[in-house]
Amino acid sequence: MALMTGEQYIESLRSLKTQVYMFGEKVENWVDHPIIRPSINCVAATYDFADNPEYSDLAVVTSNLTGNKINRFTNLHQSTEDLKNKVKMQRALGQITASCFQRCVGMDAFNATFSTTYEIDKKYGTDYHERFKKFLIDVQDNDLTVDGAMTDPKGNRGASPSGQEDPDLFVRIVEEREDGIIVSGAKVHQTGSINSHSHLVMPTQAMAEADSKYAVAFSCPSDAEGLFMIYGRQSCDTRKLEKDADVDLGNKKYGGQEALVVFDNVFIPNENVYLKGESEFAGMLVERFAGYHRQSYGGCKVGVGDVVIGAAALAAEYNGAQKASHIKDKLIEMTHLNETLYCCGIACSAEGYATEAGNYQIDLLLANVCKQNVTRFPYEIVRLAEDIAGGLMVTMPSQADFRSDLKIPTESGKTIGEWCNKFFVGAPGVSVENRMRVMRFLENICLGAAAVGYRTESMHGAGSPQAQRIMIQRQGNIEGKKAFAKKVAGIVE
Amino acid sequence: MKNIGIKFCGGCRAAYDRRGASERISKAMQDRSEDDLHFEWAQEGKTYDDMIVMCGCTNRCANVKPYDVHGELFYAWGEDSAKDLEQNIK
Ligand SMILES: Cc1cc2nc3c(=O)[nH]c(=O)nc-3n(C[C@H](O)[C@H](O)[C@H](O)COP(=O)(O)OP(=O)(O)OC[C@H]3O[C@@H](n4cnc5c(N)ncnc54)[C@H](O)[C@@H]3O)c2cc1C
Repeated sequence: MALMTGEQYIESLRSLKTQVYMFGEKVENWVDHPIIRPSINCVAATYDFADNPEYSDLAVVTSNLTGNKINRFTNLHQSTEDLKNKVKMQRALGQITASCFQRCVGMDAFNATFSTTYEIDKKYGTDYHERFKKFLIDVQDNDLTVDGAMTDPKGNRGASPSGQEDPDLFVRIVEEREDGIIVSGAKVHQTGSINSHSHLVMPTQAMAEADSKYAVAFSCPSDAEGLFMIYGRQSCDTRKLEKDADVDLGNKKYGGQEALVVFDNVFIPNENVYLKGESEFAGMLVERFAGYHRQSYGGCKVGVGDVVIGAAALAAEYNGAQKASHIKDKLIEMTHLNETLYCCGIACSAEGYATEAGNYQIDLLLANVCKQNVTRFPYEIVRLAEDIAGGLMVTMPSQADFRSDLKIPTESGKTIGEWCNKFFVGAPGVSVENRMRVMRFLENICLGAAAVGYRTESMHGAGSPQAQRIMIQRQGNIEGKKAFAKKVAGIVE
Repeated sequence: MKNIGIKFCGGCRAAYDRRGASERISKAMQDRSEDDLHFEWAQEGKTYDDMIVMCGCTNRCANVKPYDVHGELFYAWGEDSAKDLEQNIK
């Protein structure tokens, strides 16, 4: 099958029988639900992107498995060039959507699972790698979106998977059968999971032998029996239910999505199992996935950052403050921070290397440095954006007020709309509505629905800051650095 | 009739409107040419007499390897170079 367009992708979701719950109820038509639809539009953008000659140079590649043209989101990276192009593609998509477009977790999971299964097979003579290749060829040929499902609920953080009071707090094998396995448990924070055709489930952390029932990786369709999802609500989400609220939404068309994905005794046939008890490989799979995902943020968050910086510059112009030297300097600082993240994304790609399986892995140290910066810089960027925008971004009346023709019974007899338009005027020649729009966009990204993706996901997505610091410590070569110092300082011990 | 391919890089750091500029450059090229020119988005496996390559930045990373171009590759990588092409392309 050829690459899908955004519209074909949206139609393809309708044929799935995915079980979705939100606000205590089952959502039957989730594809058209106003809270969910912006996140679907965002994934659809990854399809339209590939269909657009202005972007296809980054978005379309040739599969090393089939020789067919595929969307880069389903690609196995074949070179450092591929790794860099992945980051560039993510930046460009961030610029278009100013949201999380959700398809990166799948791409990162494909690459991590591909190389890890190869190495498990080499040690144990299993056939996980061939099984996984078959799954991935299907994904590539049908241009599917797949949720990269790693994070377990984890319950008591001080206890191991098998040490939890409730054994389901980590996804586990509850029964082994001749033809497959039965799994139970859940994955939390799952980006784009409802918008995915399929899920690629991986363990959440390195596992000891005692936890071998939890060392499991598999794929399964979103509408598998026993699988359901509960929508994660976002700040200001019910604004999407309001009539005529496109200005108040800040970003009407696009948004992100996270959900709780529950596996209640789901059968997984053998052909879709890629790790089953080989506990020492859980750590490798986690480390590789996290490495790729930490690289990803050096692209997607930078693209969103480009839009934030642009919006801050517009806000300054609309306020008539754009000539102030401190405003110019703040925009420079925002750009410096954003491009530093991009440098990290490109650097860890340029220093990538071929795995035993042949696909390319990023440089782990540089990818961890990238993500560590991502846990900080977007916060500073939104802080500066809020500084430049002024308080209006959070105190303005609603769009309905600006458009209201209800007369207020005071002496001048003006309408609510007239009062709002009078007092929220900015620089000469700037429409009040445009000023409102840019302020609402900044609200959305700094503390509204899109802040989930730009702020908290920057903090915790692909692992909390401490997870990167552990990797930086491991990869940082302190002994080597001590040796340099000793040599230069003439220390002989 | 000459076949001219228009190729874009992926646009991650495009500092100008590449599509709009490509339209202006194509028009200028046609205006100066004695031949009838056919412009299209470059497609792999096709042969082109010339190609206009619209890059977003100085890196000029557009991948032109998959195309068979007999004549020239005309590069733009920013507002200035796009204007330059518009004024001088033949
Ligand atoms: C918006 C968003 C999108 C996401 N998308 C995905 C996705 O698509 N797929 C996916 O698999 N995951 C996803 N994640 C999950 C992400 O990887 C986790 O949030 C991250 O690994 C942190 O886990 P946690 O949220 O359970 O926080 P916790 O693990 O509870 O961490 C909270 C704090 O406690 C500390 N801590 C936790 N355990 C310990 C311990 N044992 N010892 C010492 N300190 C500890 C942490 O360092 C951190 O400071 C997403 C997260 C977010 C916020």
